[in-house]
Formats: sequence, structure tokens, C-alpha cells
Amino acid sequence: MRPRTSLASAPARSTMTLFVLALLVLAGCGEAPTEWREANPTVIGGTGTPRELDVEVGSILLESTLTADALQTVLSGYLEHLPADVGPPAPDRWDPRYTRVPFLDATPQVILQLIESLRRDPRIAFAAPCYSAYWGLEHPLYGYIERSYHQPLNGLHIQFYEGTSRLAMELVLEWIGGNDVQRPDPGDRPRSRQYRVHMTFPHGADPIAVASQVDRLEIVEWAEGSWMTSWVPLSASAPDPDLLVRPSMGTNHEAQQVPVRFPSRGASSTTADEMGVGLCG
Amino acid sequence: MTTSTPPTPVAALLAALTLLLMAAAPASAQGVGGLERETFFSAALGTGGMSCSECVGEWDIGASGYAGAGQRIGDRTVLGVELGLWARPVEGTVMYRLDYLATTRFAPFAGSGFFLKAGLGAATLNLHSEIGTARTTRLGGVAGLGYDFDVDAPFSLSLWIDAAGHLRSERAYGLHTGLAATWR
Repeated sequence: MRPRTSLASAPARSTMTLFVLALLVLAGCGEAPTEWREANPTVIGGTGTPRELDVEVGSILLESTLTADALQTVLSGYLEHLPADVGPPAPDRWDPRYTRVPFLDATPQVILQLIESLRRDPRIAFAAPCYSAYWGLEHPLYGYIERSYHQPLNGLHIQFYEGTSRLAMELVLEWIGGNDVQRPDPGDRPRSRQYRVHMTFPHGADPIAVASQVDRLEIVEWAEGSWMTSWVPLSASAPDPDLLVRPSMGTNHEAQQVPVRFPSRGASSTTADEMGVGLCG
Repeated sequence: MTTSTPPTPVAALLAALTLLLMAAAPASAQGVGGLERETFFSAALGTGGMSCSECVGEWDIGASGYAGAGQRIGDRTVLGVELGLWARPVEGTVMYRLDYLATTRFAPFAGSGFFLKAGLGAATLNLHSEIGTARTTRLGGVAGLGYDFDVDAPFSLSLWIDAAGHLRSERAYGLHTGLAATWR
């Protein structure tokens, strides 16, 4: 073995120590986690004008692997100190992957407080209230629309700008925690940059806020949370009852909407309130 | 029935460069390489490409480099730390890689400037935009090689090539090369 040389002087050692410390400090530095919250969630309809969403108090939507009984136990723990009467959780009638929990008596504040707690609970993959928005205008397809009802789902749709590199897109998807990404098939649609993402939302995150943040990225043409949407006209006397309420799973972007029709109901016996409760109740 | 997996371009290039440098090593008369000093600081600049397991063959080419420091622990081995860098502008944003690595450099041939490098640490991939920085951090590694040319003590120049990437998920990986200046 060669003897160590004397080139490593004390100043050199000190400089190196400082360099190493600087690297370690740099390694520890990081951007603070993005605050996935939005104070006033909005929805954009066919008019392009954003409307503020109001929390509906009829029910909330959960995604979890827990059984209904276990879910009720979890909810009871959170509701112990909240003035609300919760009904039995049951699979959602529109999308059975989710569990809907009805409320017999609750206020928007209680709903939001409960949702915030559930989003921080590792046993709950997804929790969201149902929203409504007041329109009071003539819709080009559905006629005069009084209110729309919106149920956020556990997913996002993202359209990247053409020319965006795949690495950048994958980085965004990993950043937001997409755990089940439907990528465009390069064989069928080689130039497509449209992704559908089933999310694992960061705990405490508001899915609408996540979509809003992603939408503001320069490489993203648009991003929006998955919704079930119900457009409720003022009058229930239109000739085709299926057109009265058309919940769609997807986004506000027409190209992304996957229509899911309500079961056929008689127009004469259906009111706007009943249809709203159909989605949010 | 046996199947053989064709070598990836990265692995093939690394293997070719290794053979080339090993063949050239005996002919070089560099005397003692940079590895024979106690301490060194180095900074490197070059170019590199990054890709990912879902990138369907697309590579992003950008500027690469590293900054590091090391301490000799034997005749041919240096332990050090390194900050690996790679950056590329993307549509009004900047995508960049920052790797914080503990590295080992090994000189297989006494009297030659040829060295091999391996490192392990935290590998981050970032997308910096006006609204903030999207960042993912994973266990990362680097493997590389290079050749150190004495220029004017205490400075030397090195040609280097590194393959770096995420170790566990193989989500992102890259190949980087360039010129490094070392002070020792």
C-alpha cells in the first residue's frame, strides 16, 4: 500500500467538509408540499363562465376497501363530536366502485369538516362531497337550466400540449400520485397527449384543487377532475326524460364526456329536486 | 428454450467505452492519476439524455454535469459525494434532475488515469414552473467511467460518461457525458 501523501492539508479537509455539508443541506432542501386546496371550487359549463360550487348536504362519496360496517365505525368516530345523523353506507347507484353515505341531518360546514378528516385517514382512499351550482340560463342542449349537480370522482383527465415530452408528462403524473394511468396507445394514437388518471390523492387534498393546480402547469392544455354531472332544467315537462338529466362521468370538456344515463323515468313524475337528489342524495 | 435479451444502447455504449479505455490505458503515460491524491473537488459539464419506462423510446436531451468532492481511502479508491445535474427547458418550464449521491471511484490500473465510478443516493426529477416545482424523489444510482488527464497540477481534466437512473422502479434513467475539471 502506498503511504498517504500530505497533500490533504488541513484547509483542504475543512473545505471538503464544508462542501459535503453544503451538499447534505441541499439534499435536505425541497419545495414545500403543494397545498392541494381551493377555497372556492368552481365549475365551467357550456357558457365558459365559471360558477361557484355549493356543498350539497344530502350525502358524501367515499372510496375505500373497508366493508360498510367498518366504514360506519370509522364515520362514527369522526361524527362523535359533529352534529350530524348519518345513514348506512351503500354502494353508489351510479358507480358501485364508490360508497355513498347519506346524511339525514347535516350542514355544509359539518360535511366539509368530515371530508377533511376522512381525506387524512389512510383507510379512506377518496372522499368528496356532492356540489351544486346555480345557472339560471338557457342551455343549448338541455333548455333552461336552473341548477347543475356535480359529484367529484377519484380521477383526473389531463390533456398535455402537443410536443410535450413523455418524461415531463410522466413526471407530472407521478407528482400528483396517479396510480392507475390510462395512457394513449402509441400504436393507435401516436400523437395523443391525453391521459386519464385514477388518483391516489395526497392525504388532505381536495381533488378539485389538484386538478386546478395541474391545469395551471405550462405544459398542460387542460386538466380537470372526473365528475358525475347532472344538468337539471327548471321544467320537467320536456318530451324526452332521458335528456332532462344526463349525468356524465368526465370533465367539462365535451370530448371527454362519457354519458351515463339515468334510468328512464316518466317526465311527469320527475321534479328537478328529485333529479338533483338522484345524484347527490 | 432460452431467450436472450438484447443489450440496451446504454449498456452497449458503456461496455464499448470500457473496452476502449482499458485498451488505451497501458499506452497512456499519465503517471499517477487524480486518484492518488488525498482530496479532490471536481465540476463537470456536458450533455445527456433522459428517458423513462413509459416514454416509448423518447429521449430528452439536455445539459448535464456534476459537482463533487472525494477523499482517497486507499491506493486506488476514493469515496466521495456528488451532486448530479441535468436540465432541459420544456414549453416554458424547466425539467431538471438533481441526484445526491455517495460515490466510489476506483482506478483499476496503477499509473493510468482510467477510473470506474459507482454511486447511490437520492435521485430527484423536477419540473419547475411558475406555480411551483413538481418533484419526485426515488432511490437512485449511477455507474460510470472516465479518464483523467493531468493538465497542470493541481488541476486535471477528465472525460466521463455516466448512466444514472432510478434503481427500484426504473421509472427514469439517463446517459450523460462530458468534461470534468478536478482540483486536488
